[in-house]
Amino acid sequence: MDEQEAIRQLKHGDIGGLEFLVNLHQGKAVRTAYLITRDPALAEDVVQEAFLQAYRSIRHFDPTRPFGPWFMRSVVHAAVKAARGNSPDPQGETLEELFADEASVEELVETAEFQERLRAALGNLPPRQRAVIVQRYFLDMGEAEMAAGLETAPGTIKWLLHEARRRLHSLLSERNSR
Amino acid sequence: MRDESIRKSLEALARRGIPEEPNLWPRLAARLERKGSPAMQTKWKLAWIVLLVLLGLFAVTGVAYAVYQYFNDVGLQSASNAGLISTVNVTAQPTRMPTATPPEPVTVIGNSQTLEGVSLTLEWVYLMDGQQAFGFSVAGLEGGKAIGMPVMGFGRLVPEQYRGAGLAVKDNTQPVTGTYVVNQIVRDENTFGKTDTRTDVSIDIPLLEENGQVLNTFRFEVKNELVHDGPFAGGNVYSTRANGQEMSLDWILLSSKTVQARLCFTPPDGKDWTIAPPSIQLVADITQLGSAPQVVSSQSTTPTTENGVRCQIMTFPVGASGAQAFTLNASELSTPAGEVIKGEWDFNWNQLPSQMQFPGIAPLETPLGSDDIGADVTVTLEKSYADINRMVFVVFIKSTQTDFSVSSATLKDTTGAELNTGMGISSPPDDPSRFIIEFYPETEFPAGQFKGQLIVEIGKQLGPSSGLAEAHFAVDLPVYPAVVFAPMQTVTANGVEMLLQMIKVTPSFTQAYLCYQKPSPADWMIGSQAKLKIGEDTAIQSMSTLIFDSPRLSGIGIMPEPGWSPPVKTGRCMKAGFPVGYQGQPEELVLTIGGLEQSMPEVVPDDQVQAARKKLLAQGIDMDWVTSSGNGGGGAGPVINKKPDGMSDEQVMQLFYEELGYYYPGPWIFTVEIKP
Repeated sequence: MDEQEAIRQLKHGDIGGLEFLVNLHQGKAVRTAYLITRDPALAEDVVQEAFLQAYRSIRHFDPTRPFGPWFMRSVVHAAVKAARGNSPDPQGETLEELFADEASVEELVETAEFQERLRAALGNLPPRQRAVIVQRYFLDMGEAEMAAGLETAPGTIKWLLHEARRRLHSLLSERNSR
Repeated sequence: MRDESIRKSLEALARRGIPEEPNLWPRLAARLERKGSPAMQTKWKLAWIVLLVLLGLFAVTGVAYAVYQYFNDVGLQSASNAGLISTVNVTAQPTRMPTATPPEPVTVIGNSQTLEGVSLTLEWVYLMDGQQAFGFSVAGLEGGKAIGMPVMGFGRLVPEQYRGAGLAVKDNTQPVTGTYVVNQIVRDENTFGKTDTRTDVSIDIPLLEENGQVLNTFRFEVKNELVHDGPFAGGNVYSTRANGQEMSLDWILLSSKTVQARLCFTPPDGKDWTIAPPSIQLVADITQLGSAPQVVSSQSTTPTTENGVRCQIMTFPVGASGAQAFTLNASELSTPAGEVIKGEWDFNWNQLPSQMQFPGIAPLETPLGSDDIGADVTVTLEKSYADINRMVFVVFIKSTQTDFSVSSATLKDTTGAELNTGMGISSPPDDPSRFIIEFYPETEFPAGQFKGQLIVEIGKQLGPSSGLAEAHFAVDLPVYPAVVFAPMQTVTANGVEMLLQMIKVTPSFTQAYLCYQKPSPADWMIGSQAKLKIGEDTAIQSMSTLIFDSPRLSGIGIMPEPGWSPPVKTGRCMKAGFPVGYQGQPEELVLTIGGLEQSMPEVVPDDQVQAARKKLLAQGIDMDWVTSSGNGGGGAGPVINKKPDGMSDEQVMQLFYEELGYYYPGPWIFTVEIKP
């Protein structure tokens, strides 16, 4: 079976099609939701609900288009909503604290310590800014696609992404100049 | 932080958080068994039966069921999914539009001077009412010598409303060439509008040493030069106000090697305030401004103060070759004592001197594509759709050149009369060659069949040459009617009663007729974030029209609504439009009016902004309201520095508007079961 056949089956009410889609997309989807919610269990719940939503609205889906981007938009949207309801991480560092040492980022990204600090720092971003970072860099989405996922205007996405990225770039510049 | 580093970090972080492959299927399958198969659900069966009946009634010919998801709004998407978008696929060769009388060309000068071994030729001069420019070439510019910012004088005419100047120097080729443009009004008020204005022009161009000191100055005089009619052009920001402090970009010098900018401000007190190093983003494609690298200023002159205005010249270690736009951002003023004023002073320019076209003179750096329309260009009308609320056409431009676009479009009836409509043009995501053209009627298109002509005007995406050619298409398409519901539902929130009188729904668009008593005599309208959910589709309000107002607020226009009479004697009625449709199945409709809004004045007094900011700070929100002005007009917008976790930007803005008195919170939520 391939993805198109799975969608065709699902449109005809055969949940075997959904099982195929779940197995194909659940890994990326749960990790995406995790980056936004910061909670593995909540991420699984979000993706489970997103699959149920896809099952309910598959009639609106154009089968000539790939399923992944359409589905990931709903995962991001649901994860942002879930993250807003989640309490903030009390251990979270600010982004300013994140890049306060001397090692290069290229070396840092491989270390568990850095990843933990990035996790905490992401936690301190508002959910929508966190979501645009995840959409852009983890899911490689374009701005129009991101706008559809977050039900917002492309201009707002541009601004959100610009704000989030500007902070990261500027923080790195500060760190490198020390 | 480099993009690749962010990507790698997120990958690693996600793998660490979710190390094992999840297995969601067993739990999902259990939940699905409890819910049953979608194919078996009565609601779905009903929906498809209704849809098939509707399709039969509409007698649509040439309907395509598998269509691309071109559309950004859910109404058109669902109309598309329901097969209501007709496939046309008619291709036309565009015909060239009549060429307008070419403007009078620049005055060619060609005078040369040699100073310190450097020869400078003033090539041309062009004066407009709102912008003045000249071009030059230089030979012998060696040993670190450079051209500085020129000064133009206009004899007895005193320029007014200065809006910044730019100098582009192309110094990576020989001879070095340059274009200088200054935005200001040069006008003889005694003769303006009656006779041509002519003036003498003086041009001083400094020759700089390597250390930036003026070595000598070239001076040219041009006699009796005509000042052409012409407004400020482009959208360049000259000054911007943030955190109560104004700053201006006095001039910018863009060369192939570096960029210099002169920033000025009036200090809030007599202290030694300086601008912290600003940053600049230069892009070859204006749509990339958000993602271009930021280059921080590497050098600044000592501030100079003249007439209370303090200025610094900043140097950025980046060349501007090929740039079409930039954003310069300053974010801090400080004193040696450690006092700081934070702000977001952004200066956006999308009309650089290097790209500007003056009559008869090619720009220093030509935008992509040629100015002419090639014989290889074809325009295909791919799809069409109409209901009483809008007509939509999808066109595709095929060309070996990449930058053609739809610059305008008109609809005509069979008599050749142009329809009175609003019009919007957009492109689908990731598909810049396809264009969605939407027409909105002043009231409603008549339901039934529309026959007429669509005229698509083709222009260039870059540069001023829009409207080069036209493609004509005969149009014959069904106009779907609306289904009308009359809930007459009343909801009271925050002391204001609101009536949902009527809902008019087409397959792609919904209009809600709402009446309410205003909370004060001011101009209270339905809030722009009003939201409509039909079934699983949600849309934000895309239009609203005032259709009744009593007592009538002075200066407020009312659009007549044929065949409708207000259900109230006093108060206000509005028609709110949402790009979400209804295909005839039983659905729940939820209309949420979050609040009422008054339009903000162009300039909000700074003391009101500061008072609102103070109140928001007490709620954990640090935001600023930034205003800017330039040669393309002014603008204003928020900068949100800090807000409580979980609060959206929209919520922050609502609180801000509320503190300013421009927002009256509800919400008014209407739930209506709609059935065919």
